[in-house]
Amino acid sequence: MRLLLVEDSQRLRSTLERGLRKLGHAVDAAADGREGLWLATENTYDAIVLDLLLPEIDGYSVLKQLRERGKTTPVLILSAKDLVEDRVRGLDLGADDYLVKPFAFEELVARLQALGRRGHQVASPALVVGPLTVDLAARRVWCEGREVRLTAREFSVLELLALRRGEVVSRRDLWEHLYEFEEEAASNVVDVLVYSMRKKLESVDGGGAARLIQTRRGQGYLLDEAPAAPSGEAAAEGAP
Amino acid sequence: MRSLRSRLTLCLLVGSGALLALGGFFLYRVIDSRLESDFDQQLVAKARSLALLTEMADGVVWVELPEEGMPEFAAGGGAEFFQFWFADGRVLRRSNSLGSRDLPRISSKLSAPSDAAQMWDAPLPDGRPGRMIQVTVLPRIDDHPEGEGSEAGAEVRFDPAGPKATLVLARGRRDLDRFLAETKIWLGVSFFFLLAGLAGLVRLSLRLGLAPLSRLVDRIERLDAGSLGERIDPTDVPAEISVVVQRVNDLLARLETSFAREKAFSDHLAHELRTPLAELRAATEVGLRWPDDPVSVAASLEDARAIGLHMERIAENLLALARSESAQEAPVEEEVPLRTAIEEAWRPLARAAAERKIELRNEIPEGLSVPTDRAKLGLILANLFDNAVVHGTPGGWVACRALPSNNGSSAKAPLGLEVSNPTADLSSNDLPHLFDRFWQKDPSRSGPHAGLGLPLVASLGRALGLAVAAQLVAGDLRIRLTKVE
Repeated sequence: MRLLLVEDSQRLRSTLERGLRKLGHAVDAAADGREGLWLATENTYDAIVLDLLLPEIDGYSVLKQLRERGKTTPVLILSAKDLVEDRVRGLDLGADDYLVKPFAFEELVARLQALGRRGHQVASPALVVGPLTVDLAARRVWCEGREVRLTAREFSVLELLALRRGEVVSRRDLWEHLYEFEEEAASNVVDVLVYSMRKKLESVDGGGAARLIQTRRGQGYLLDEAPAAPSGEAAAEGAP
Repeated sequence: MRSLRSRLTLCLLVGSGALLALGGFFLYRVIDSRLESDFDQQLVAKARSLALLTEMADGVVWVELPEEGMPEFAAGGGAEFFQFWFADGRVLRRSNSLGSRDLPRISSKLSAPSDAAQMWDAPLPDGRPGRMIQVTVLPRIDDHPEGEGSEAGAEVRFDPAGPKATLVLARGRRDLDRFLAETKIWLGVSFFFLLAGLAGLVRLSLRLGLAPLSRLVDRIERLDAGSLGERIDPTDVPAEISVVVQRVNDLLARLETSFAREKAFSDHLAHELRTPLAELRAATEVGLRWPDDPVSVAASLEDARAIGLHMERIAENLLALARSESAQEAPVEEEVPLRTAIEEAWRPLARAAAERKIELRNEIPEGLSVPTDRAKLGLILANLFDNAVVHGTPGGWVACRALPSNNGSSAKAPLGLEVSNPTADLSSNDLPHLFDRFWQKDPSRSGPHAGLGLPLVASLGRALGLAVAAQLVAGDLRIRLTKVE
């Protein structure tokens, strides 16, 4: 997932950035409300983690302005304010979840994943596409009952394809799902990751699952239960 | 506890009832007296009329009374009675209603003048209650015994030396007694009806009169922690309780301020404790999640250490504040060289001050010392300097100078100490909050301080007998510590 973290505590911000990145998420971070609002407005995120007591613009105002600008990105408020009226106010202003500090890192991750799934109208954390089972909560993949070892970024590509299965996902969308605002990556990094993922899937079942990931020329990639023909586009563009 | 309404109702009813009873009693006495008097006057007039009918001629006395013209003396129910006696006790005449019976008389009074009537109550011969009058009768001298009749205007004559008679006239007083009894009953009934009406009137009056008070009570009863911002309209209450309303409003204002301060304190405390706890928990959980990543583990440990130090500072300041406010540690007074104390307190901050290009201007004269607690003074100075270094304008200064005593004498016995520094962040609206616990100018509380330094300065100042005040003069924050006179 691509996440935005708006938190003024430098230590908490850096810790969460580190942890979420290690889980394969792309994380943009802002130290104050003004920067957070700008990033949230300019980019597309799967979820936003928003503190309430922020310099420049407080979290309530950030949330209010986001919703007024038509941004529907799921927002999780992460705050030390634990009163019922604070939570109600945050949720009334359009927040999707509220977590009180201190919190368990695992709980934050689980809630963010739930928000990400909700954004794609997916209820179950385990997505099954043909022989593939993608566990979004555990961030693990099985192919015909055997686990496929993917890197965090490979998993992120598969995660987005699975969440939007049956739908062509553009390389740009995949790239934005993988990388942060200021991160620069090679232009063919998405194709390289897809190639690597296909190889790993082929090593498990001989190529059946790999053919579920179809390449659409000039458009992007598609994950569908109906596999592409071995001699089709996928084979033709099997290599980046 | 008896209510004001029931107390007033009782007092008004008892008072009104007593006045009504007294009024009824006097009214009855007046009626009784007047009727008795009228009854007696009529009895006297009739007795005198009968007395004038007693005549004497040639030594013979008789009563010239045609009873057929006076039916009240005829025998029968409701009759009146009379009886004449000669002085020797012989009966001169009886009324027909008396028959052969005798009326009682007072024999010893026969020599009294005829107008000296005596009256008394006694049962009539027929058993009815009655009233009797006894008069002495001097027979009228009849100058025309042959029945020629007296000439008109002829003088009525009496012979004082002649024989005298006694007349007793008796009349029933049942009607009078009955009327008086009925009057008494009506007065009693009226008393109770008036009292009942009065009770209703009192209740109604009290309800109307005390309605503003009841509304005020209802209004006050509805007040709770969530409605402390409301005020009672003093123009809507009677003048007698407007002072109470004003006081209640003042109290509400003070409570609202206290609640707001308490809530702010709780919020700030929660933030100051929850944020580092959240940092610590996240750092340790992320570190433990990837124990094989030395970079991540090292970063987590470094964060945990920094958070620990930060929380240690908060705990130390809170403990120092608590100790100071509970006066657990009495000040140990000694002569403290002020200039040296300032230099010692500045030393640990010199590096941080240099980074922000802030210099110390120690304007305390050499040799000036003050009798005070060295450790507490050091803590005060350290907190003031720390505050100035962190929040003061970069490139500025921190100036310390002694405040001269009131008599303008030398600084050997200064009135106090002033620590000042330029600041760009504060406004005069912030000054009342400077010494509040956990107060920070930045509502996001992103600064490195928890907001306990200046409250600790104020508390330690009080322990040392110093008044601590803040002023903002031309962009300079001046904290003054002066002796409490």
